[in-house]
Amino acid sequence: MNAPPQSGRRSAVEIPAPALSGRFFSIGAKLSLMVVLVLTLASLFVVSELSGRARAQLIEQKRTAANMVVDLFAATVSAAADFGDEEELKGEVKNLGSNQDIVYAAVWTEGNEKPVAELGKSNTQTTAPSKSRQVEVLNDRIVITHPLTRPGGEQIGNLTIHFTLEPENAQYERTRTSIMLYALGMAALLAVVVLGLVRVQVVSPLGRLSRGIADVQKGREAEVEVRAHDEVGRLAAAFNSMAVAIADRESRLEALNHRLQQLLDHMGEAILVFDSGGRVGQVQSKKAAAVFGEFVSGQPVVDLLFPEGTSRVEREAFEEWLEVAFTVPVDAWEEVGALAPQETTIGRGSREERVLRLDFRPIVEDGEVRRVMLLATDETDKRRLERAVRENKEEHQRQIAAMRKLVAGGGQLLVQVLDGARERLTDCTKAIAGLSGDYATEQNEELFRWAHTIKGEARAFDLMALEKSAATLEDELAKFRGRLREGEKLAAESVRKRLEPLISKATESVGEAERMLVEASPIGPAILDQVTVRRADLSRLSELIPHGKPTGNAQEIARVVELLGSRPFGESALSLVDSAPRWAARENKRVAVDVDGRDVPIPPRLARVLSGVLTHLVRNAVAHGVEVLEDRERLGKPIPARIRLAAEEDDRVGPTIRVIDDGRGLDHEALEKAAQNAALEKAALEQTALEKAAAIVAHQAPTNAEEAAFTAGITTKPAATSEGNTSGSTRSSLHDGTDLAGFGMGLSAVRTELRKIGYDARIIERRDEGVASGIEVILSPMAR
Amino acid sequence: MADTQRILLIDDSQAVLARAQAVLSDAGYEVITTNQTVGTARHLRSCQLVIIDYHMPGIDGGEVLASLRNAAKSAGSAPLFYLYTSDADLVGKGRSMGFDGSFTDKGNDEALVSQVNAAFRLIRLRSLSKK
Repeated sequence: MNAPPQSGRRSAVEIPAPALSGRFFSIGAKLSLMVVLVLTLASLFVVSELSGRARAQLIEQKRTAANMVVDLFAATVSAAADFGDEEELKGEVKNLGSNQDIVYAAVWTEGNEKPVAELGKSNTQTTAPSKSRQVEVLNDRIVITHPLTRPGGEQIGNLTIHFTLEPENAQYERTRTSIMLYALGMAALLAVVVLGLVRVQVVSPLGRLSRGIADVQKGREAEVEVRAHDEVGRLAAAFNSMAVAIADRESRLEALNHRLQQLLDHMGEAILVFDSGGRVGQVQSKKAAAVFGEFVSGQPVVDLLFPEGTSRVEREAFEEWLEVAFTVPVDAWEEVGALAPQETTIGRGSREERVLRLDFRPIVEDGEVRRVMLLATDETDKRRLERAVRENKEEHQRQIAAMRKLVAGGGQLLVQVLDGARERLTDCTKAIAGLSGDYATEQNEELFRWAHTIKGEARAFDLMALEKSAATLEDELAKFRGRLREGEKLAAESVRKRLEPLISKATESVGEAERMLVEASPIGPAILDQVTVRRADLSRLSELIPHGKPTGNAQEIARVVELLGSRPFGESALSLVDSAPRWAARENKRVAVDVDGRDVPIPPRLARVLSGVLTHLVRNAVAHGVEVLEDRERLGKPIPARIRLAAEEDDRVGPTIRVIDDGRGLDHEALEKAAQNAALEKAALEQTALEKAAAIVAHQAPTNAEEAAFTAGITTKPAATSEGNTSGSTRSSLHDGTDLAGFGMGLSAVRTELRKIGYDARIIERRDEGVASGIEVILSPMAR
Repeated sequence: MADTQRILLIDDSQAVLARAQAVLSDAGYEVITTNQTVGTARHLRSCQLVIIDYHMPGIDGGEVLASLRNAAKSAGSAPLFYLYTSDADLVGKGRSMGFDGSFTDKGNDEALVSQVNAAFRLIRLRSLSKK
């Protein structure tokens, strides 16, 4: 369907010839029949006419001759009649018998009713004839009656002579037969000539025209030969013009269709069109053929999108949609179109699973939705990729969770296992590098033991990737073992080529496990370098350092001892990575916690309080700093909100800790007002006016919100109990008493706690183009 | 979606309920889950779709359906009731048991969302047809 138009044959739709009633009867046959009929009638007329005339002529000749005979006979017998000489009369009459044309003759004399002389027998007349002369032509004879008279004119008798017409009739018959044969021959000849002419001039051209029409119907090019300049010739010429015009129009339509088809084929979607009966039409793109198959024309679209055996509810919903989609007015299509399926999965769960995103567009004709175009985008690869990413992520999270459990239970053992695996794999690499000649059973057994140990240890620690790669290596070595036991000689080179990639893969798995261990570890890469010391040993070591301010080596020893007693920042911070998102979810918020400087050593005195301090600050940030989802969306802020916990190392004075959120910042007005109220409340407790005045001065409210936040007892929380949902609350204070942030002393307690160990806390409001964009709480060593 | 699309999901497995709730919530639906087979009728008024597991301890989905259908009738609500199963035999019997249909491929999150989407399309189409 995608080939360009072919010359000589158009892909026009073949139009069936209209059905005609009755049997086919050729126009040539009709004309032939008509000609034969006409000529036959004409011939009969001519035969009749000619033969009639010929007979009349023969009879006329006979009558003339007969008259002469009669006249002569009358003259001959008149005297005998006058004298009554019957014998003479009889003799004369008898003599007439020699004339073969005379079949009867009779002579009457005056006064006799019966003839006095007679020849032959009459079949018509037996009495005396009339006195006048009469000639009567009958079918078979001519009867002439003639009076006998004296010279004076007096009638003396009559005579009658019958002349036979038998010879004339026989002649007439022969003539008529000849004429008829001639006429029919001529008619036949004429018919043949006419038929030939009709065939050549009419029937054959019409036949060619008919074949040409059939060719055009079938989409073929057609041209009829024009042989004569007559009506049929004109018809043929007109047909040729029409065929050329049709061919031209169709070729333009074909080219247009081809361009449209190319356009469809170049689109990424599988495109097809279906009608109100849900049947797929002929228009479809190349992609549609690839997705749905080559021959889908005429098939129900529901079978293509939701084949039998898939979800019934999806099929049912689509079938009901089809019933509605073609009945609604065009302006209501948008509402109906939204109820069409947006996606289908064909062959879900199978290897041939195909996910299609669906888009339905109405094709409007005469103001009604007559057909619907389906654009199906194949998103199978995209979905597979998304699924793979999701599954990998889930698998990674599972492994990290497992690793965290391992770390929690003693990370150093795991480090030891990984170190051992790496060491064994290095030994394997060295062993196969030194192979030469034939591969020995002992060499294989040693490698096998190493691989087996790695696999076993990996399995014990849920290191699945390492276990799998070690198992693959072990399987390969087991195969070598079998072959060696059967006495086969294995070339060391081929063994090395086979084992090298497997050992390399296992080594990669060790590296991957180490990376995950570091990721899961609260102290980052330091986990790989950490050893366990006993607190008692550390205390004993501290006691060995001279009292007072150490100098020289003692100062360095004191620093190292403090480092040994330090805990990595990650230990205090990392649990919040999992906890904070859960706290936020309960508040209709989304939060992610990032930890920087996990391996920064935190001095023992700070490490003891840092976990609680960080928990307080992060809960505070989640409760009051971070906006609810709707607010962040409205403000165009990224989701999830981010809280960053960072530790910066400073060998000289100690680490600085920062807790930074990207929430709404401080509510200055509320905090300052709360601070003033708190000062007044404290003053009110004094007894005298003078004491009160002094107290107001003494309890002077802080001048800015940052400082007010650290003032003990300050809260903007309303006096009535605040319950439950903090969604949409403004950040009025850092300790306004929600379930999350609690009702404790807040930042003032934090500061107090920190100051006891030589640390201080301060707040900086972060601003973005003058607008508050979060706060930063800084915990740093106090100046000495 | 302008109107809240609320689903009641009844299954004896907390794991199935938790998973389905997470998946359907992500898809934009409000999901009420329960592993109780009694006392769930109070949720019907606000739900357009009820999804019921078949094999539950001491009772089957058909009995739960019968009870909820009566309750829905009394409450004047008409949610669609779908059986949720991966048992091919049950899928065929769902309608004869009185369910409006069956959700198949139980445990497949994508299939569940697709089928719930289709069920809500059916609800809206039928509502549109009534207009």
